[in-house]
Amino acid sequence: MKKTLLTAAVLGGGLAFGLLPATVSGHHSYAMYDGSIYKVFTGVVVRIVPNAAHFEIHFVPLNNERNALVRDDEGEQLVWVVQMESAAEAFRHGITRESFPQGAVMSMGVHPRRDGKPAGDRGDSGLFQCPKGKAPDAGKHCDSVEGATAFGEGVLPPEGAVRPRP
Amino acid sequence: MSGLREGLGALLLLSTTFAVSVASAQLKPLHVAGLRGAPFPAVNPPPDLGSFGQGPAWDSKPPPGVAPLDRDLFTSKDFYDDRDRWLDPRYWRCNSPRQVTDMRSGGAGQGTSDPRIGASPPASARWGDCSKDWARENIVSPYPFASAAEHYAALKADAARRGGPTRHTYETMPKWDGVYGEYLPDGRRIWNYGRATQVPTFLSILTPEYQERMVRQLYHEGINAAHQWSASYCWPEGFMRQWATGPKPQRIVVTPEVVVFLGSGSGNIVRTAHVGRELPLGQEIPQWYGDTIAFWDGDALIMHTANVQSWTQHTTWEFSYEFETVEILTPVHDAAGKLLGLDWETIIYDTEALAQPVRILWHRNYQQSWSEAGRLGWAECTRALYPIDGFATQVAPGETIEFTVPDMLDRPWAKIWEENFEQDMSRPKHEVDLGFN
Repeated sequence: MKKTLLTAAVLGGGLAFGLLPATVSGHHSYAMYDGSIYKVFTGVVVRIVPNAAHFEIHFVPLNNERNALVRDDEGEQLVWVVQMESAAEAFRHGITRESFPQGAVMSMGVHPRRDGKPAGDRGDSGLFQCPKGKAPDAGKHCDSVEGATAFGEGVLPPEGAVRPRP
Repeated sequence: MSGLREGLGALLLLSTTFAVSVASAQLKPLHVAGLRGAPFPAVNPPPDLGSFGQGPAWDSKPPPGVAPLDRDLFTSKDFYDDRDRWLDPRYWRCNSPRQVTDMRSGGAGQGTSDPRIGASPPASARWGDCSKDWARENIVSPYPFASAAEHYAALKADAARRGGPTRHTYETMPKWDGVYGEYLPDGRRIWNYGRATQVPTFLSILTPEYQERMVRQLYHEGINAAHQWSASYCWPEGFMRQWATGPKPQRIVVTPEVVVFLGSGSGNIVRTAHVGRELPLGQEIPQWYGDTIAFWDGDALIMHTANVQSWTQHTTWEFSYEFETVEILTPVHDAAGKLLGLDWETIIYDTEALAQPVRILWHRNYQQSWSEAGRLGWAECTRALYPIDGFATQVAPGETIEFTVPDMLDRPWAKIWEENFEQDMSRPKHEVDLGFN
């Protein structure tokens, strides 16, 4: 049973955000991202960066077995940076510093940078957080874990080429 | 000619008398026992800690009667190994934090032909005055509260006992609108500038982790001249820089609903005290100047600030996400009722960084009204300096440099020191613990 925070967040924060625009204008071009594919990650949150225009999540991916962090050639944690919606919209989805503490395990799809660097844009991907202290089974993501929480709408996209919405 | 001299003399006497009377009225806010306005045990603002001896003859020479340590900050190769010496003033050659950071300059924005680092740096660094210090008891909070929320609630309850909080209208609210400056009696500045206090006294107010952070900062400023000052890189200045040389609340606008503090300098400051509101004010996303609620107790404004972005202030202590303040602004008037300025008492609570709460009492002197003043200047920082080999370096347009993108919310200043100056040091490894190997 997955919980969805969207409704609660809207009810709780609706008044405060009543005057905010429903959609947010990007303040930069998205040409750097490969919008034709999704990479789907399960990783561990390093931090939330609440920039006003675009929220960011910094995370370190877990390996396919979901029992260790992915590291670079020098053994350092490989940090991915994913751009999301505005801080206000993220809050509406229940994404805050408190709800995404360091060490939380989460899953989402990412349109990666075209040059292969560890950064990307969330696109329309769903965002799921595993229950505290739990990680998915090998090869799976948080949306498969009992008690996982969905933040906002959407599902995890399939890995690879973007498929038309049904 | 003699008449002119006499006239100037009389004018000087008059201005001196006026200055004395003004000074005596300020920095003495209403004392409510256990809550606010507690008098300082010593003179405030404190006098600067001086250099002991001037000129090259004093290179590395300690004051008479002071036995130097066999290894101090200026001879150490690894300050991490010197933890047991950090709290000995001789480790710092009795220099204040500001003296350490200015070892190679004449102060912020000033060069000098005779830097105190001496002719054979860093070992030739000169000594400060070991007999001077603005003591710890003048810095720590004199109030019994463990948290800002508790202190604020007690102040509110005190106001309630006298029929408060006061609900001001446009007609009754204090007329503080205008332009304010920094009050510097005899040129002295508040303790947070780091000019009056021995480094170990400063360190004694910090928790061990934050002691290490401050020592690290002073080492790299004093020994390597690798100052990572926020304004150098157009990084945000952070909340605490109001009480140093960062952007200050130069202008005030008062309405019954909000009191707004504005300023611009090395960065911009906008603080809004929401009168009659409660925390939280909005998203639980740290704000650079926090979220501030307030109430009026007569003509005093009492503020509580929380949700502040953790950050640094150069040459002194870093603050954490636990940082909160209580601020009490009390107007000071002359005998004729003219507003002289605001006594501004700030009690800082930060259970992660501070060993116990601390207090700053400063005064903002009223200068002129909005209509008398020039426009409110508003600067947006455009970057001229970049870290090159660990040094903030001016780079000309068209020059190509190698640049590593900082992780802005992971203490980027510390990363620069780590990568450029600490390869051979015994720095404790602080990899983020994410719960997985």
